[in-house]
Amino acid sequence: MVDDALISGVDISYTYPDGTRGFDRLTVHVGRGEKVALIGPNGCGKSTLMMVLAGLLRPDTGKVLIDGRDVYQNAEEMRKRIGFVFQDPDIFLFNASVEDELRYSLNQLDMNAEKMDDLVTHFSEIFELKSILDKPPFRLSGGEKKRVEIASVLIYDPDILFLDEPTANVDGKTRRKILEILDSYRGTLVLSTHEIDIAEKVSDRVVIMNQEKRIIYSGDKEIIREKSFLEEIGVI
Amino acid sequence: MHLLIEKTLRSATAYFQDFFIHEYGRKTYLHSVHPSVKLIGTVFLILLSIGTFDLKKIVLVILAVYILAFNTGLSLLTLARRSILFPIFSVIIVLPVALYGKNFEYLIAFPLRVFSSISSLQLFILTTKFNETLFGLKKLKIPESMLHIIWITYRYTISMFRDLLNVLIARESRRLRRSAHLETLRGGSKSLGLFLLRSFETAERVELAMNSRGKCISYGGRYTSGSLYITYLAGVGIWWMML
Amino acid sequence: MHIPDGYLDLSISLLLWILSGAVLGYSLKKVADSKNINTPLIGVISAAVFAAQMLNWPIPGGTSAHFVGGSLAGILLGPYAGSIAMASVVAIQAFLYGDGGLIALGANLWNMSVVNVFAGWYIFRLIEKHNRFAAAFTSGWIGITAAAVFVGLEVGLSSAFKYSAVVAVSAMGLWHGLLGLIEGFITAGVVGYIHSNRPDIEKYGEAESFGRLPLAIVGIMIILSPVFAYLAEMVGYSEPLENVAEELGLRENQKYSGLFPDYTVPGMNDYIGTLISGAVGVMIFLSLALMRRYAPAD
Repeated sequence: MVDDALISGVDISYTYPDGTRGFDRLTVHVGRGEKVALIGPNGCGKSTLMMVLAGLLRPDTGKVLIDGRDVYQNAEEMRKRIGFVFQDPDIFLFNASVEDELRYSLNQLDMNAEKMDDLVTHFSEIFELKSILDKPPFRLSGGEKKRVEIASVLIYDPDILFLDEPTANVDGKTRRKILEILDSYRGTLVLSTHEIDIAEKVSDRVVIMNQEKRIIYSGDKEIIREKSFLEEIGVI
Repeated sequence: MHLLIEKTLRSATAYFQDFFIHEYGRKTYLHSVHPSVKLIGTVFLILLSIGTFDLKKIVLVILAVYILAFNTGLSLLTLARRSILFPIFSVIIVLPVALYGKNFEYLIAFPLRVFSSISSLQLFILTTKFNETLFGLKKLKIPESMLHIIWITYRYTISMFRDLLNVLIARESRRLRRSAHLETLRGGSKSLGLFLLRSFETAERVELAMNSRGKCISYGGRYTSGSLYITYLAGVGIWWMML
Repeated sequence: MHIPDGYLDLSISLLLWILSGAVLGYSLKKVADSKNINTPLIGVISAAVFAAQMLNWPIPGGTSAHFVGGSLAGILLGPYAGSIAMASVVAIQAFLYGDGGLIALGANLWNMSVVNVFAGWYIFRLIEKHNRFAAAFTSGWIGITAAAVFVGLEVGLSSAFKYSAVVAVSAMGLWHGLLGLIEGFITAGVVGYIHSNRPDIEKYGEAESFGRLPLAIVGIMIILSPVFAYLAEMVGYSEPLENVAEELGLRENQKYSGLFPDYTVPGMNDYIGTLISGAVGVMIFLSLALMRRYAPAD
């Protein structure tokens, strides 16, 4: 398992500049094509851990390797392979219209115009964004923003996808849509959630963190059926 | 963008330590002195520092500050470390004019005046929590609405910084190719724009919350009048005049 | 940009305290009367500007620059609320970090929260009709450069600082004129972004009439402040405390003699002099000794 890991973070720590400890000396491996759910109570460091694994933050100790290469040092080439869906779509969406959001990453890839148009049409159909393509993102509902965010990431076809609480604050329709999309996603997937049913439906493996920001379990997802255990660590 | 985030994180770490400086170190006599008295005392010490170019007097004030700090149990090293940067800078600044005028006393006196003033202020900062400072300013008749604003600024800086950081990171996550300095400036200022928009929304929520909970901010506490502190400074002041 | 204590003469420091106090006091009153602007808004936006100042912008050559945001605060909140917002930031920097001195705080408030904000706002309003980007860029650039020039003037006019005003102004002006380009660029980027995404936010900066006369008066105060400073320097005296000491006859070729003053005060009756010296010694030692005893328990 460790030998053929696609993402491996060994002995990594992160502390924010204001002194808030993200997490301390964790070791995480994610296999190629694996779908991992990070479960834990609020503030256990899931989001920070994912940002470090995705090479967005430099770990204070240890290193994160993707295919054996340091992800932070090789940010430029790695970024094309990694998609990151943030919990709060409002920090992620900054363009003037939904269509601009979809095109934002494609514009950076030197893609020909025709192919780009096709992709935009295709993704706005899958994510049901056709009617809101011209709207500014901040005018949208929470569920719409989330769909735009995920579409803007998946449109450049990353083979590693991080999702931070993808189903927080969304309506039932969007939630079903997200589950459907994640189910058909063929790459490597790491998602954080504190909703047990999402973890159960999407993941092959679960990693559980506790309030002390430690990994207390990593393995088969059967464990999430043990209610008393989850209650003890504060997930449910 | 990569570099912007990395450099910012590095410099912010040092900056934020000051927000929690009072969590470190034990309480001393100076902590118990009324903040208004300490403010006036600090201004007095600075006036003594900058009111002269006489080396003896400047050294007297520096000794007075550091003896006071040592005597009440503060770390002299911390105090000096927090005060030394600008005086060193000042030496470099006045070096040419002092060499040109062959005025070597000035070359020593000018930076020492700066060192003495900054040490006095740092002594105040190290022994006064920020809300106590505001309480002291309130007693000195600074308008309360101004103090309110300063308190909200202080209170929200860390969470605003975290929000700004998240906005930058989210934008960085969508950068798929190399970006030059100009690109960083362009992208960065757009992120800053988005962050400020969010700030206005935060402000609206804070206002609603304050309307529902009441706007009164309570600060202050029980302090001694600081008669020993005043006596000490008076002694130093008279000595200063006699020198 | 933050002037520490020791660079300015007392007369100039006092003058700038008075000027800053007048403008900021009036701004507070204007803010209290405003319908759109309230204290939480100014506080939160100040915190945002403060956070934005922590950004370390990489510039070619390996160094980095900081965004100050004075002009931006003026553009977003209008000159009065903008100056209060910057004053809040400058005050925190002084009282929490020791960036800039206490006696010099009046000058720092004047440069960063009055000159930068009002100048930035004037320039933006002046050019805005023609071109928004150019207006915001110039506002950020000239606003910060003006503040730096004022720092140069104040420090240069002070006799404590041996360089002439010309040298100080050129050094500050040239350097910040260059760095100011980045300030201008960022200001323009932010203003442009807000305009194209949420034009409704602009109401804070422009909805109310700010009153022509008071604005003109502030403008004149800004322009004339270096002249006042020059006059204050002429009239005032840079070391009034020493003056007092001399007036009292406390200073007459007294040689430094050991740790303690010679138990006499020159120019005075020996008996009284000894008494004062003794009293000073007792005051200092006794207060120091008692401070140790009365340290709080926790």
